[in-house]
Amino acid sequence: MKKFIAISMVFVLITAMFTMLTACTGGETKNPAVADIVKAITEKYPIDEDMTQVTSENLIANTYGFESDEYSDLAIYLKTSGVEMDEITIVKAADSSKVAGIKEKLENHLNNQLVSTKDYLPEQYAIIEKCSVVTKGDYVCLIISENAEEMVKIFENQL
Amino acid sequence: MDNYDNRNAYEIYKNKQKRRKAKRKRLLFRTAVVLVIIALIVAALFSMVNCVNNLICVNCNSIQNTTESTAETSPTEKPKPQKPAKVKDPVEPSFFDKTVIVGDSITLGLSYYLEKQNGQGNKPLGDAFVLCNGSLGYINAKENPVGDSNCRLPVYKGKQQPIEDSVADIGAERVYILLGMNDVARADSKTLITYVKDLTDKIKKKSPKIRICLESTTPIIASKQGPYLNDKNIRKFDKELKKFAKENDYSYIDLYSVVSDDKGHLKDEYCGDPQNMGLHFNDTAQAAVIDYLINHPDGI
Repeated sequence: MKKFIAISMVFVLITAMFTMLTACTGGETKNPAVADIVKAITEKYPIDEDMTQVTSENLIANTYGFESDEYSDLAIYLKTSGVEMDEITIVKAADSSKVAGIKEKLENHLNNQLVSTKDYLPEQYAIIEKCSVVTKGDYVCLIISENAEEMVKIFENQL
Repeated sequence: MDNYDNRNAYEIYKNKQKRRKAKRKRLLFRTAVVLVIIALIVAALFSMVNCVNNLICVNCNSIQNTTESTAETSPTEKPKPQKPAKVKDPVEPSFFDKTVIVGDSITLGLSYYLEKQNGQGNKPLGDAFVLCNGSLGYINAKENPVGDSNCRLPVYKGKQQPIEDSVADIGAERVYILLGMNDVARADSKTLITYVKDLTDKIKKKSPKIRICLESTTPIIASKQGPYLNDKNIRKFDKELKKFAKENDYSYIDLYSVVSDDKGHLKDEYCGDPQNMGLHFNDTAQAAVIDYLINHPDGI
């Protein structure tokens, strides 16, 4: 009987230790701040000086149609020359039910960029054509760049 | 007798060993129980701290988003009805709070410039709303409506819709229109003016009290003059645009003169894409345009 109690105690101890470890480390690597993801990307592919971070709620709401309750975190960097469409947009949805809506809005934005450049910026059009909106967990990402594929891989590796 | 004594002593010794062993076992057992309890308490505490942290972050975001969304009311509020009037004197940036600026990629550059300025705490055009799309023109605003695969209409709240609808939804009192660069090579000036009339009529119909300000199409640097898209054709169109504005009591803003050199081309120091199309503005040009609008909100 005592042996049984002893073994049960050991089992409970191990379970408690496991729970403790999970509580300590569970939130860090799976839910990184969007700024940290951008930092990881830009460490390898630095942001040009003519890229602007968009922070204005009006501009974000108007350009992408994001409602403020749809996302809990986002970062948007755009090239401002008017002739280059480079962009890094990463959005963390407020919850998993919002992911599809955010993805659709980013896809509409991507399509708009495609149509805008089709006739008068063929080089940009060729770059944008190869880009797509990517989701992982609650995170949605649109990167328009010649290095989009590699940058998206970095995004995925952060999650 | 000695054997009996030895056996007794041995048994006493054995009993003592047994008791010691039992005591050790009890001690070990009690220690294990205490350790398990401590581990459970610590695990519970860590889980609670994590949960509380997550709740705090979610609440922080909710409060922030609620605050920001309740602060964002001006784009949908209808302005108080007032008769549009021409303004001759320089104005404060807040003059442009109920203004929409409609344009193409040149105006897209303005929106990014304003965004940069906002980031530095400056609002040179107040809360002016920029409604633009990269290759928007007077012609495609009519000929490529929503649903058309080549629709270039500006996005408002994430969706493309007619310019006049967006202007009305925003509740603007003034609208500045800077288009034409994507039209000049497609049609002659007189034909283009019919498209200008179509757009301005639609805007007036949806927003009867609005003040319409037509901005001249702007020039291109000397080295990028094309066979059809060139400053000679731009000036022809601007002449018709000015005449149309005067006939309809619209303001005419001569941006062409603001950004051109003495040969009538876009100043090199104003050009943001000299290696590309040679017609987009850099930040210096945007600043010059804003300065002109502040000093001459209805032109000269």
